[in-house]
Formats: sequence, C-alpha cells, structure tokens
Amino acid sequence: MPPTSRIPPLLQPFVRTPKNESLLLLTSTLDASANWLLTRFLCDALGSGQKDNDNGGAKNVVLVSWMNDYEFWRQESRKGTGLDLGGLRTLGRFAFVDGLSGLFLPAAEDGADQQRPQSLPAAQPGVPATRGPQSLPLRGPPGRTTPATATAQAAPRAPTSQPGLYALSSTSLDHINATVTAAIASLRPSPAAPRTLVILDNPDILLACVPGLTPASLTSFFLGLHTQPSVSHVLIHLQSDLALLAPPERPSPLQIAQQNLVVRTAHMSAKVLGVRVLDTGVARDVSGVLRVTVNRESWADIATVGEGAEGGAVQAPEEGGSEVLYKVNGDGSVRVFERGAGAAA
Amino acid sequence: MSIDFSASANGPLCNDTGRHLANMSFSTALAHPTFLQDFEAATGATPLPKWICELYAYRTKAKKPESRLRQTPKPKDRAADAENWIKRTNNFPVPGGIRKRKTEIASPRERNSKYAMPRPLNAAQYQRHAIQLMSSLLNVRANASPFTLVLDDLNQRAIPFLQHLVVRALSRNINVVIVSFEDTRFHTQVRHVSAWGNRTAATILADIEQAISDRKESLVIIDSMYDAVATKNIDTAALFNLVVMKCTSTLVGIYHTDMLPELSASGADAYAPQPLELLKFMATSIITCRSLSHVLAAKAARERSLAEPTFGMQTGAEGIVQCLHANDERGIVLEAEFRRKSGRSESETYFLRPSRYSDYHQPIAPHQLYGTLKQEFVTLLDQHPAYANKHVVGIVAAADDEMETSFNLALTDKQKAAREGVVLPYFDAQKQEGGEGGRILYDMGEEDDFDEEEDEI
Repeated sequence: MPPTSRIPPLLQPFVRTPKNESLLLLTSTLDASANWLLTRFLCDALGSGQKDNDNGGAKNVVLVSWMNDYEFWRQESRKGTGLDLGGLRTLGRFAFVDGLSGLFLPAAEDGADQQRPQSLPAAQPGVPATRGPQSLPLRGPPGRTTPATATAQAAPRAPTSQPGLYALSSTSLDHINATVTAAIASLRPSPAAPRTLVILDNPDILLACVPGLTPASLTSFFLGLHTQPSVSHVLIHLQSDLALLAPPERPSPLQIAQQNLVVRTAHMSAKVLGVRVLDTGVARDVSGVLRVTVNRESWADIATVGEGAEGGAVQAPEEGGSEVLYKVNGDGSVRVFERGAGAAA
Repeated sequence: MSIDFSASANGPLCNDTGRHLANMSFSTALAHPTFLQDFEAATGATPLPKWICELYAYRTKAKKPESRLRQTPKPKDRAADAENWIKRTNNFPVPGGIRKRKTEIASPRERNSKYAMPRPLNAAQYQRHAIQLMSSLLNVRANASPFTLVLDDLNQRAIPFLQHLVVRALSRNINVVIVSFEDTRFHTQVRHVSAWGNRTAATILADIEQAISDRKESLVIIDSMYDAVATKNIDTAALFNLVVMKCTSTLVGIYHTDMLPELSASGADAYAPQPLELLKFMATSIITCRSLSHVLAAKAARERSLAEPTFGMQTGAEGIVQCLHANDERGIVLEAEFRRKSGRSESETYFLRPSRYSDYHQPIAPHQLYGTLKQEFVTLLDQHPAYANKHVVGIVAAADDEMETSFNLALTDKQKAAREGVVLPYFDAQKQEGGEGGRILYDMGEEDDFDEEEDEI
C-alpha cells in the first residue's frame, strides 16, 4: 500500500507543509494526543518523495522527541501509515534525536546512557513495543536526571551501526542545538526532497526541567534551527492543557512560562493546528477535534499586496480556519470527517 | 440711578417735590446724565432752583455733548498685534502674522465671522478629521507619531496593519528596518536586524543605528516590544534617542497583549510598573488590533444586552489556542488613540481593508515596488457596511432568538394549508346576520332519529 494513501483526503491539506518557509505549531492536550497527527506529518513529508505524482511536499525529516523514544515512533508510523523509518534512516532521509532515554529514563538499564540507541531492537519489527518505561507521565517529576556533563561535551555523532539515531545527554540548549544540527547535517538532500522538516515533539518539557530556562531562549532555539540553510519548516508540538496554562488569577511561574511559550510560538507560526477533545463530552465514534488556523501574512511577504482582483481577494472560507473531527481506530488508522458527517461517512 | 417722577405729575406729591429734592444726594443724581431730562419732563413747568441750574452748568461745562456720553468706552489695547513680542529674526525664522491680537470685540451679530467661537464639527467634518489623523500615521508622515505602540493578540495579529505601514513607507521611498525577535525570513526590500538569541542590547542598538544612519528617514519596526524591553533590557530612552531624535525617524513597536509578564527570580521588579504600562505611557499613538468578525459579534451581543463573547484562549476551553475567525480576511479593525502635542488625546475606531495592487500608482524608480497611494481607503468603523447595517445584526439576533427546543415548532406548507381548511365551530352563525335568535344549528346524522315529542318540550 503506498504510504500517501494512508492519509485521508480530508486530512491532506492539514499535514502538508505550506509553500512559504515557516514555523508551524501543533498543540495537543492530555486527552487528545497528537501522535497520530505527527506520524501523518512524517508520512506526508517522507512518503510523497517515493512517488513522483505529488512533488513539492517531499522533505527530509529530523524528529526530535522528548516524550517518546525511537521504538515508539517506529511502531506508530508503521502501524498508522506503513512507513519504514529504519529503511528511511539508511537512505539518509530521516534522523531521530532521542530526548527521552538519555535524559529522563533510569540509566542503569543497559549500562552506559549513550549506548542506548545502539541497544534498541531496531531490527525486530515483529516484536511489540514494550510501553512500560517509554510512556512516562507527561509532567513527571523533573527528576534528577541530568547526566554527567562530560558526555555532553562529546561530539554528537551517530553510531555507525545505527545511522540517523542520535541521543541527547544534556538539557543545555547548546548541546541540544549541536545534536540536532548534526542530525540535520547527516541527512542526504536529493533533488526530490531538497529541504528538511524539523519536528520538535514536546520541547516544553524543558521549561519544567531546566531551572532558569525562559520561553525566549526556547523560541530562539527554534529560530536558530530555522536559520539553518537546509531547513525549510520547523514543526513544534506543545501542550495546551488548561492546567499548564496560566489561570487568570495567581498563576505560577511555570504556568506563565508555558503560556508565554505557546502564545509566542503561535505568534511566530504560519499555521496553528490544535487537537482537543469534543467540547460536548466523550463520544464513542469521535476521538477529538482538529482545528487549523492560518496566519497568512508574515514578514517575508510584508511588502506584497494582493493582485487587485476584486473577486480573488475573497478566499475560500476554509483558508481562514477550519475544524474537522477525527477518530483514531485501534489498528492505528484514522478517519477524518466533517462535523455532522459522523457515522454515515 | 433713575427717579420716576411721572406718577407725581399732577398728584398731591407734586407739592412735595421740594421735600423729595431736599432728601436727595444731588451730587450722585447729577452724575447721572439723564437726571435733568427726567426731572424737567416730570415736573413740567416747575422752575428749578437756581442753584441746581448753576450746579448743572458747572458739572456739564467741561464735558462732551450728551450724545457722546451715551457711548460705551472702547476697550483699550495694550498692543495692536504681537509685533514686538515675537522676535522675528532671532533664533529661527518666524513667519509673520501669528498671534495677531484682536482689535475689536465681536458683537453678537458677527458670530459667523472668523473670530467666532469654534463650533462642534458636523459629522462629515469629524469624519474627515479622524481619517486625516489615521492617514498621516499610516503614511508614516514625519512627526505624525514618533512612537506608535501596536497592541495585538492571537485573535488579530498586527501584521496586516504593519503591511500597510511598510508598503506605504516603501512607496514613499522610506527606509524600512525590522528589528525581529520572532522571525528569520524577510522581504528583500526591507532591512532587518535579528535580535533573538545571544544578542545583547548594545549590539542590537548598534545594528539599528547602522541600518538607519545612512538614510534620511526610516521606519523602525520592533516586532516584540516585550522582548526588547523586558528580556533584552534595551533602554527605551536610548532607543528613542537614537531613532526619533537622532535620525528623525518613526518607531513602531508591537506588544502581544496575551503574553504575560514574567517576574524575575529575584523578585526585584515586583513593585516596578509592568513594561506595557511604561510603553503605553510613552507612546504617542496606541493602536489596538481587533478582528472584524469579533467586533461584529461583540456589537450584536451588545445590542441584545448580552455579555460580549470571548475568543481564542480567553474562552478558557481546553486546547483552543486560536479562534477560528481570527485574523479576518475582510480587513482589520483598529482602535486608535492619538495623543496630540497639546496633550489632548483623540480616540476613534477605524476599519482598514487589505490593500490591493491597484491602490498604488505605477512606480517611478526602476527598483521601486509601488508608486504613491492613489486614494486613502481607511474608513471609520461606523462607515463599514457590515457594522453600520442594522439588518446584518438583526439576522444574527433573530437566529439566536429562536426557542431552543428539541422539537420543531415550525409548520410545513402542507400543514399550513390543512390549518387554513379547518372550519371553526359556529362559523356559519357568524356569517348570517344573526337576528333569527336561538336557532339551533344541527345536522341530523344517520344514527339520529327524530323525536317529535322531545322537540316539543
């Protein structure tokens, strides 16, 4: 089955990266996970390069995840979209930076921390993933998990046996930046996929883990990645739970920081995707709501005005913002439908 | 002072004239010019005492004729105009004719003259005046507003407004510099200063100076004033001094109002005013951006005396970051406050539609993107058809006024026709003119059998 057919047609415009080089923001809540959507982004960027019929969307991808490890993403993308991340890694189209194992998991599992990527059972697709240690609670205790900084000084380099796999060993932004940059540099751009999409999965956990880290320095980190010549888009996945955002009265410093990070990233983004549960309660045949809003103007086209066609100025209503419902099935497939089009579809 | 003698012309009081006169203060009475006339007219042929005639002749001898006495004295001017007050050729040239002193006091009849009190503007004049204010700001006129603070949030970002500023500035050949904390990609025609990352306040200011110092007039846009002031600690005084005073340019700062101020860890600034308050204090114009659809919804709610709706993150719904109707494509609503040099502030709400290529003339210079603006198209919000039109608001209100029930109260056409066909009881009786009195209308059915006996009873 070709991978792109795994993306429902209604979802296709949502996960396609815009033409303009820009930042994208994806928010999710605890009840409505956005992992299924991230795998669709992976599928759209990586899968369309294999087919020649829809060019333009093909991109190399660097996935940086602070919330799940490589094995999780490999399983998810295989299950949901039929994407073979291992094969794409060897092709030089995909790289993974593990922000979870080296930073937040107990180190005494296989010995040294930085050996963890090599110990992954990457060559056993049939083995179901063990979800125990990987699925930490989202906002677990920050954990005294900052490992020895001596390993952080080592040059971030993928093990030769596992190309395209990197691991973070420090929470300092310099180290993270260096590691992600190395992962971007390791990709092999091709004429079909000349640019790179960087996906940052839950970098907001750093706000809670690193004392003194400000939202401004995190957004500077995003912008630093975006200035790299081969990077065209940066997709940032943040949490937008009410418990994490600032309430009107007496917000805690962490809530203020999280709110400022979300708001500031939304201001910077050309497209804001939000995943949430139904406002009216739980329904059996609906997993949640996906909302997309587009910020059309940016500094890049600040001096460009419309072409003067009176009719052309009025765009289709879904250009401004739209909502669809989705249902993630047990086998990882997803069904996307309009509001009210429910079970009949 | 006036003494009424007419009542005593022929009466008994006439004889008492001498006694009345004796009780008068003649020096006061004589000071009044009409006293003698009234006195003679009232007393008729009564001869005046001789000493009164002498005193009158004495008092009036040195004075002007009576007709001159009636004139009110002309107010005296200290100077006809301010010729000597302003030194024409001292420091800088001053054009003549300013502050000329009024030499005449306008009488009530001349109220329509140029010295009349200013009347309140009529609607058209006010509109013209308000649009003129906004137009001078949009066209980046020198000294129209040295520091404009633009407040935006996720529901309506400021970029559509800034697009107008930048395009008009470029069309007037003004240098545009963007000091960016939030983006990395820029248009080729504008200069930019990247301020994010490890840049310090000193290097940012140096970069700004380099970007504007070789041009006569510039427009400097800072895309996050909060970062500039609070995070990077750029001294606002130094910034204004550089941009406004030294380079006579215009500074525009954006502040995202949905970002919360972060307290420093030391708590040293717990008692200091928030950056937004400081910036509002210093700004010469404050523009608040709102989405048109949100303004319309708020107006519809107001007209029905409901609470105004909230949008985006303010709704408090979990997972919602941006409202679906944010950044309306039809245009942007600007709530503007202009602070004049006199200290007076004027507020008005404007509507600004997206600009089109046809709004601008053909460019003159080869590398210029746009020619000058053909015609100003910013309008007051009250002039916007969707806002001023009561019909649109009425539709919204009517849609909400319908009863919320789980069943349908409306009728189909078939149901309406069936209802029309129902004959109401005693309808026949109403058609006939009555007067038959007590007639029983009854149609015999099949099951009825006529019973004469019962009918007779």
